[in-house]
Amino acid sequence: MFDSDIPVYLIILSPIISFLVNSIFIRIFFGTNSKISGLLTIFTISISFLFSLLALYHVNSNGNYEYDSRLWFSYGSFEIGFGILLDQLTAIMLVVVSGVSLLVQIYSIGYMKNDISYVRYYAYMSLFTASMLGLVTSRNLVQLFVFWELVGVTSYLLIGFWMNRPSAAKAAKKAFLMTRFGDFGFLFGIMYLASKNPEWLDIPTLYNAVHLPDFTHTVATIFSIALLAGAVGKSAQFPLHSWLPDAMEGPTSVSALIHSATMVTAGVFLIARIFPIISLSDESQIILSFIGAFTVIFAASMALVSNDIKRVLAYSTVSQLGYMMLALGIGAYGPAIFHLLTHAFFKAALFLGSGSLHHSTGTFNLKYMGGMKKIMPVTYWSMLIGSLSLAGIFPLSGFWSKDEILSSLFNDFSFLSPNSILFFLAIIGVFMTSFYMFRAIFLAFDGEFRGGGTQEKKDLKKKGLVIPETLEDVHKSEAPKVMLIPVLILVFFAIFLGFFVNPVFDIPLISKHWFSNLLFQNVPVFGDNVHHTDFKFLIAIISSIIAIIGIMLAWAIYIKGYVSLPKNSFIINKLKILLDKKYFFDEIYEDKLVNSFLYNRLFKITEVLDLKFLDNINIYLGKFTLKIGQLLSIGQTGYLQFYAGGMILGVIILLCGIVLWNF
Amino acid sequence: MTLDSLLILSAAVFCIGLYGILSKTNIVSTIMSIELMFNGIIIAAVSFSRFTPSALLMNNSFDVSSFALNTALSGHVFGVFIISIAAAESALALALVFVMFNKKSSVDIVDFNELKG
Amino acid sequence: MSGNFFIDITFWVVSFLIILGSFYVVTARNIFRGAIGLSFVFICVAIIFFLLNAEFLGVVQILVYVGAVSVLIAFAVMFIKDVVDGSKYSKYRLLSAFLCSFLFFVLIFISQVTEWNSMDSIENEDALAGLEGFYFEESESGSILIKKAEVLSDGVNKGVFINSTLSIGSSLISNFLIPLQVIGFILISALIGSLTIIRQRRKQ
Repeated sequence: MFDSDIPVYLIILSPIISFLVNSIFIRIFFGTNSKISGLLTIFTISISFLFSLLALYHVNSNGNYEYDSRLWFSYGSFEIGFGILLDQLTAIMLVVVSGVSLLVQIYSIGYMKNDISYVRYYAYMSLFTASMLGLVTSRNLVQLFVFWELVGVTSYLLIGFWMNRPSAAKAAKKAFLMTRFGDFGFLFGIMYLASKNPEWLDIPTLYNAVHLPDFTHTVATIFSIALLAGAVGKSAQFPLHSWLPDAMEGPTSVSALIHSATMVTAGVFLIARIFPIISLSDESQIILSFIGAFTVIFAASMALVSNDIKRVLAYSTVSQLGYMMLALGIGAYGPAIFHLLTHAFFKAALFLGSGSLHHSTGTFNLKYMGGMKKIMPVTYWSMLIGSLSLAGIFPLSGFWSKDEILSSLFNDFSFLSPNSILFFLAIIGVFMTSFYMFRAIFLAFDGEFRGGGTQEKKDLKKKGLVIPETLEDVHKSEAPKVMLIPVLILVFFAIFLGFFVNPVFDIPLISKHWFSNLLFQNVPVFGDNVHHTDFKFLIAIISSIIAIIGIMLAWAIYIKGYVSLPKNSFIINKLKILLDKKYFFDEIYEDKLVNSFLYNRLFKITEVLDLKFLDNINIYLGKFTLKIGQLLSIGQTGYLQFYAGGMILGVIILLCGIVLWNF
Repeated sequence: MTLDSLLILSAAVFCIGLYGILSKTNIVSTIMSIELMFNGIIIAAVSFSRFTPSALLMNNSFDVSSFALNTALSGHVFGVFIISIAAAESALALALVFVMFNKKSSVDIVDFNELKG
Repeated sequence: MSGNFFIDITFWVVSFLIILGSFYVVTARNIFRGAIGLSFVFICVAIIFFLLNAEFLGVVQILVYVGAVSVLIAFAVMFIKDVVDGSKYSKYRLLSAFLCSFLFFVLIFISQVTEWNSMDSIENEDALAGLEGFYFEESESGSILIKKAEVLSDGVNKGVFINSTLSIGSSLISNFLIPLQVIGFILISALIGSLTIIRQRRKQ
């Protein structure tokens, strides 16, 4: 079935068809709120999902497929191909992307029910899913870049979906520009590689070229660091992380899709794609792992104080992506992709759960929630399980994947080696993760109900502040079934996926380390140089204990009130402000870098150049032509005879010329 | 009466008309001079038609096709065309003279020098 | 060549009158007299046409020029305040005289130097004999026969002696059909245009 690449193209094209039909046909003939669009999108994405499952099955049994590259465009001897690369990584990503996307689309039927731009929402979502599916199947780096940018554009459209809200428009712009900043690195990397050898843009050729003598250490380092910049931008790693929390302005279902399974994982996917090149260069590996490790605790620390449940989840996403980057940086390819898989499911469940919370309370602010346990028990349990999974509690899926990353860090452990520092950062991250997640859960679901969106509106009015448009009135009801079922399916995977996909010992039907084995079948990437990460009992115990300590601390502070932070402590207040302001990164970027440096300094120079130099050229050019015109206008006497005489003179000259020429 | 003499006559009438256009300021005089120039041209066209028959006629004189005959008097046909154009032109020119007179109460070209630079 | 003598004399006299009349047209101070002189020139040119066996054109010349254009110009003279002394010279008079005489000499030079494909240059005796006169005759079936003139009136000039009215008519509806239509368009647009110009001014 997968002998030709047509089924793979079908996976990409069916959401594109849905996008076109939605935006051209349904929007015009059935109105902007037609329910057909949702059903159509779900249908097409389920086609993609089915074919993705088939692709995974075939890849599992037959190994990776390399289809012939078609010529896209050429310039002289420089040729760019267009084709499909269906290897193990692609097959897994296809299943994750189309699966999570499918569930989010189903959830959106309920969540976006009353939105006026229902059709536009589904059109964007289809295009977004299609471009992400195209990204993971790209065979050529240029092709990958095109889809990469398409993901950026559609995420811009989705984050700014409610474009009449200024904050959403701003957040969309910020997300687009900051990821573009990283994409510059990606583009540079592509151009650098093309300048060395254009054939290397083809990814399978690149894998084979790694062993050639042409492919020096310098080339590998420059190329991988350049692509690292793109991945850092897309996956919201430090220092290009600040767009992701703002991107929560989009609809919650969009956040669930963008920040769990698709867009942010594109960065991780890219690094995994060029893994053979990165592993050639120690420098870029160290940079990658330290960026990842630092982002883990950096983002988690901001999540500790955030009162917006979606922002808590956003920081958590950044932090978990840091784990994946860290794992890739130390060469733990299998654990990183495994964590990507499990994280996609439990984080999507958490986001969708927070959407249900908003549906019920009318706010995302944890201060105005509370006591929702009795009102929405299903959401409570699903979010609780999701959080436990995220915190890494046995036997949920997050435990297994996070444990693999920690175990691979522990492999060659010696005191004060880079790996030991990374390991301690990762362990601190585990503690913070469990703490902030359970802080959010306890604040939202335990205690007394604190008024929801209605109360928050009143308070804001009292203080004379602007009321955000996300605030709605309180419903106080469990979410409808169409929103619950996708969450429950995601929770089901969040519980069972971890062990059954990559069991630590042989179980019936599934062999030991099935998932890692599947990934390591990719011969061009790994060759025979494969090492599995074994389950380490010690690490499991340590990480579980630390996670439980985090949960207990949250329980002690936010439910029982045994421990309370000293109110007037100077350091704690300052720290709180620092975290609340996100380490002042927005201020640094906007005020210092953009306003002070770029706008007032650098662009002042060009302004002066423009005003003094270029403008004057124009002015003098104009004056010059004016003078010439005045000079020529002397010839215009206004007498008809003068003009006629001139004409006759011309005729005479022509005639004389003819005569002289001929005789 | 040879072709040469006719051409000289034609050129003379043409140049006299031209002189009239260039030297007179009255618009009616100018129109009259234009008509003179037209006449000079027609004389040339007709005399060419009379004295220089087309090659079609010359090579096969006893078995002329109707096409050859239709082209034999092209000069005359052009004369008819030129006369038609001249009539149209003089009608239009008269209308313009009328407008000019209404506008400035003058038909002297010297008074119409708005294009002066 | 005695038979040509009368025609030649007529030609020279008429030519002289044409040039004289033209000079009078462009130099007359009295513009009305100039217009009369122009009519005279038109008539003389019509005579030249008759001499050239272009009788149709000669008739048209008299009808259109002498009959219509001269009358139009006579109307135009109404707009001139000072008819007797109205036609003034512009300041480029001498310059234009120089230009025009120079152009005249250039034209004469060209006409003399060029080897026109004229009757005089034809050396083929048969062709020349064939060209010494045609006339048209309508056959019984309605088609047009071309016959060589058997009796030439007293040794008239060599040249094409075709019944010009018939030939022009058949040319206009065959070879020159499209130009004829275009001329029709030009005439109608000139008509409408001149009417429009005058109407707009009347409104004010």
